[in-house]
Amino acid sequence: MAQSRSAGLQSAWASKSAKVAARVRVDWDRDGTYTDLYEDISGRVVSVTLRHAIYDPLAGLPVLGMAAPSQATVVVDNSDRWFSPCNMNGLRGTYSQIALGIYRFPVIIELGYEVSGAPEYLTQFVGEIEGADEQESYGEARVTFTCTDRSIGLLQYKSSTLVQENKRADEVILSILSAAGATGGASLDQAMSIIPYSWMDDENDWDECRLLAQSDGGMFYFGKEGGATFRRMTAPIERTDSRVPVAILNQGNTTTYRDAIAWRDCYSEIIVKWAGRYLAPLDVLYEAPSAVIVPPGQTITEECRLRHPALDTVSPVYGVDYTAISSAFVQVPYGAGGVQIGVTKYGQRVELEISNGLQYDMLYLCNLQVRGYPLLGDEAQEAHFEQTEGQILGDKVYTVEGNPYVQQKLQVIRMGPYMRDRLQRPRRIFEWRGPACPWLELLDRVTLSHQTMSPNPGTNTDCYVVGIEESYAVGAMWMQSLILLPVTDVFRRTDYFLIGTTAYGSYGRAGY
Amino acid sequence: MTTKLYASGKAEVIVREPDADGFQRSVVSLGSSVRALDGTLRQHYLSAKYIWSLKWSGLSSAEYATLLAEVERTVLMTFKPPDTTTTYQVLRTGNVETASDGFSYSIIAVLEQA
Repeated sequence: MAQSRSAGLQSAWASKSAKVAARVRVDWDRDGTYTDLYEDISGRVVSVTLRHAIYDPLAGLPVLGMAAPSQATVVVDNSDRWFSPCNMNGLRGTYSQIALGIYRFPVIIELGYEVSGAPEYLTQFVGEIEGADEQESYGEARVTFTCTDRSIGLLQYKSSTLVQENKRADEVILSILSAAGATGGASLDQAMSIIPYSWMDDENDWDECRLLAQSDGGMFYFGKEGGATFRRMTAPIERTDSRVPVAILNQGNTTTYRDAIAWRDCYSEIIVKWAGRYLAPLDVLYEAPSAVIVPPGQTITEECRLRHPALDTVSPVYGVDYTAISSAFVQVPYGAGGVQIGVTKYGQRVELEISNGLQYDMLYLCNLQVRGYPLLGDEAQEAHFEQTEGQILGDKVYTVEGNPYVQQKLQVIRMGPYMRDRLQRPRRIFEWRGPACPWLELLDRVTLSHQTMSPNPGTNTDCYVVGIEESYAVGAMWMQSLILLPVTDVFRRTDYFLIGTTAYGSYGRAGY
Repeated sequence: MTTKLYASGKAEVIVREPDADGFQRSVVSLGSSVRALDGTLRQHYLSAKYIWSLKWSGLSSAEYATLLAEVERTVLMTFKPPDTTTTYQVLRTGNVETASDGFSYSIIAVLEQA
């Protein structure tokens, strides 16, 4: 959704001469603000480049939303060694944590134009510094900050959860973001499908969020302002800024124009595979390969990986799921002076905290097992969606498979036809470059108009923004490159009937 | 009309006024421009800065020593040009050229607004 902007900022972008306003700030004390001493580093910035994308040219159109996290590179002047971790007279003198290197400090990049003598910024990037590369040559010393958007908090951590039943993708994503403390500024569409069972088992938060989004045909990414964003499959024909152009890119503000027809992303058939799961009766899901030995007075953690994910597990019952004897061959009772077991349950894993309350004897936990209600996988099934336009000669098949959150046919028959419509025609992919239009965001609609070709076939088409790159260096133009996907035929219809919003028939047709 | 040139934050130093015939002040726009597909010129700039090309001739030994001490500095300086009451933060850029004709000294220097 395009960022809100003043009429003055729009005029500044459109004017022949504009004064660029650039501000880069780093939260050196990680207090959540950018107003402390030396946190505004704008005066030292030499150049800024940044990139946001939901379209990965290598992966192509079938996997919109599976691009790499947004990145930014900020080059700063370091001729006085201000940023050097070993310079006590530099930044380190105020912020001692710099001594360990510049890593994971929050950063915000704001760019805009001066309007009526005052800078008007729009946030272009929010993330964290992932690397600081200090370079020096004769007469020049610089530091290059490599920054990753706020997905860095998800990329580096793995989570385990209980099995959740009948949740939408956005609900599961929200629970992951909450656990990771990354809900700030989140904007999550309501997903269309219910996922019968979802869980995480030592899995990467970022990967799971993207798989969840993909299971709904949607996209997951972090927006320009740093919020986690989930857009459902039909977002481009629902959201105002995707339906109404927010900028006109024409020959007067375009410096480079590129038009490529991507036959590579054309498919005559889409196959979507899914594997359902069903709840089975109580069963043994884990058996310890040998006795568990606990020294006297100590507690150990036994990690039990289950044969199948389990909707629930039974806390081990003395005499049924284990027996406990001491090194003196005496049965050890359950309780404070004997054996005690604490249980932490996850989807496909159980952690047992086994305590030996005996003063002198080792504890042997024999025949340990964990029982539970397993979720068994069905055989994989698939649904085929053939082209309806007949533009692709021969068989060229794209298969969606391997997503554990695609578990029922209802998900598949909703996702498949939309993908078929997107992929059954050769698509033009435009690349536009020109003076930066600061308010554009991913999935915004723009009008691309080029009427000065000679001879003039012209272009006058509305497109979705699927990639944004910006570059700015002091003394140079602030340039923007956009990757644009024409809106025509991405969806079969331009509007669909929305329950509670529009009336069926007069405002739209039923979706798939 | 007084010309001052000294290290910023330090005591003011009054130097002799530069020669009127060698005094040049130019405005440089920090920016760039590019032509759009239809030929429209589009420009982005950050700010406009002054550059002074200054020449002092007929300097006495004392004036020469005072002035040279200041223009040789490589630190941020404060400069009050002779034609205005405004002071500017400047850096000396380029070379300092000195010469003597046997009776007096001359200095040529370029100052650029920081």
